Amino acid sequence: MIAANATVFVVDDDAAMRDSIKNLIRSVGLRVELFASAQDFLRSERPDIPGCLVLDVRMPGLSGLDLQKRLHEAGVAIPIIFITGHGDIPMGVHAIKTGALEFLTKPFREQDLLDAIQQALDRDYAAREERKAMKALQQRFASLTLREREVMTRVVRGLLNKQIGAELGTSEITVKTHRHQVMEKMGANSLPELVRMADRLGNLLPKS
Amino acid sequence: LKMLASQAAISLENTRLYSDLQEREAKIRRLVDANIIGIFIWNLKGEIIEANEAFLEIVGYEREDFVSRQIGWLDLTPPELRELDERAIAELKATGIVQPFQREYFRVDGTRVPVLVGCALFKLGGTEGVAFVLDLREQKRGEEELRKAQADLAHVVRVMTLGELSASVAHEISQPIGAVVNNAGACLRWLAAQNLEEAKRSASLVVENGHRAGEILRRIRALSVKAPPQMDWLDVNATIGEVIAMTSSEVQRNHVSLRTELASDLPPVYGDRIQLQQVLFNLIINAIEAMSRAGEASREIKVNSQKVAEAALASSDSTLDYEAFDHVESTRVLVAVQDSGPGLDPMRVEHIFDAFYTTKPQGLGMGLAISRSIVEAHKGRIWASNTGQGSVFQFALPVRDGRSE
Repeated sequence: MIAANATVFVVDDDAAMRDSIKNLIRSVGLRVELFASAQDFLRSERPDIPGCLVLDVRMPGLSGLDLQKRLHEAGVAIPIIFITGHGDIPMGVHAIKTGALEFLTKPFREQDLLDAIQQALDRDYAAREERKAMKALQQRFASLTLREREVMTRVVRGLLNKQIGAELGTSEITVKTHRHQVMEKMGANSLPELVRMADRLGNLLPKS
Repeated sequence: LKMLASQAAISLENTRLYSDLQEREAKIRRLVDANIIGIFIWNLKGEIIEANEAFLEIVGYEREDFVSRQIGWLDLTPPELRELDERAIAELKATGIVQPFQREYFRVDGTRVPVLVGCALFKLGGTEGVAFVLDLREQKRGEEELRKAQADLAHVVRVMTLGELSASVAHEISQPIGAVVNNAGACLRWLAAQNLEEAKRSASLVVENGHRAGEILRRIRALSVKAPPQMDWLDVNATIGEVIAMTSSEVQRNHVSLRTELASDLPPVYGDRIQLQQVLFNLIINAIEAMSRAGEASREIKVNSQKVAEAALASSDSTLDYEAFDHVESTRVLVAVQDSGPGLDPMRVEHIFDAFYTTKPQGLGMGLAISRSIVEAHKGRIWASNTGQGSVFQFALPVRDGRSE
């Protein structure tokens, strides 16, 4: 499942290699943008669209690993597929450990690169959906009043309305109203659904 | 009585003289027969009157051949050395002796034997004299072996350098091969999508990248072959370009910026392309290593080529404006590899071309020694100096006229 505007960014200092990757990616109907160096990539203005990065490890100036680190520090979460002419296993292990999705040694099977790209785009798409959903959830949670949040915390702990009322010093009726508001505002259709939301919100919930 | 006495004195004296003479002759005979070196007595007619065993052994003839006057020293002289002999004879007539000089004699089997010969006339104005002949065969064999050992060593170093290089080469060759695979894969997909235009474009990229891979392989193969020098007319700038391509991944890996300043008016040089590549390769790798080891922040290598005059080179060790000296007859091609490293230790600069001299922890000390022997085999010279901002290694090769020597 790939969004129509998904773009593969390719950073490689070797022009022939770069062009061939572009040709390959275009042949499966994906968009591709080329960069001759890590610096060029950092300087570029990229729209916030689904994508992934195909990155050569060894380049003059900033190396691929340097770029990975910079992006990580800048909070840019883009899946990275490393490609390298040196079958350097420790380097590959390091790259994967620090979050790279794949590490391919040139010359690689072109299908391996395409598969990795597919996987990377899927992952980026999913991550974006996830971030979007999380943001929406947080917005919904932000619309709750303080008392509603206190009620929600206790509801998801499995307390009965009577027990919540006792803890908060209010009547059972009032708790019932708050509880209804919470379900409504959070868009939860059932108690289990609300519990899952609470799980995802984690620390945002007030301690009881 | 007085007369008798004087007669007796004279004969006594004669006897003494005679015994002196005998003694002296015995000494000379002893010298001749000791056979430490070849000795023969000759005359200006070209005859050999007498020869010792040592000389007979050198030329392989029997004493009888000379004594019977069937063979003379003229017969032993290769035709192209007649002129040398005539000069020697002129010197003999003028001064009575000829300083030892190297020459060859024909042996009885028609082969040639290298010798060192010195001659003296028995008396100035006379026609007879003696020649002392030292056999140089052993020595020449030694030189031959040395040359062979050097060639073997050069081969070893080439192969080793190749070993060191293989990582870089693997990187370099993986690029075009990877590009071939990608473009061919793309081509199949374009064909499946019936996009013939893109398919055609992809196929031509495959061909292009395949050629690039082939060219790299050719360069590697050329490096690994233990071949006799392949002398040919060379474009030095092209050779520089090839080596820069070979070293590019080392250059990048060490964050070195490499610039070239190549003269467009270079005459071709007659030489062995691979050997000169080896020299340039050594110089560039050395420069990279020198700067990396010293941890220099700014790492720059400048490779330049220019046409210079020989006279200017002989008098200078640093860059000069050579244009003023430019003459066609004495033109040389000068190649300089300059780095921004820590420079050379002035105390040791004269040893850097010696074999087994090295400043690198894992160095063999062969790179520059081999470079020097290659440059000298090309009748050129190589030298090093400090620039103030680093060191510069330069070599100058002669530009020859149409024919090889």
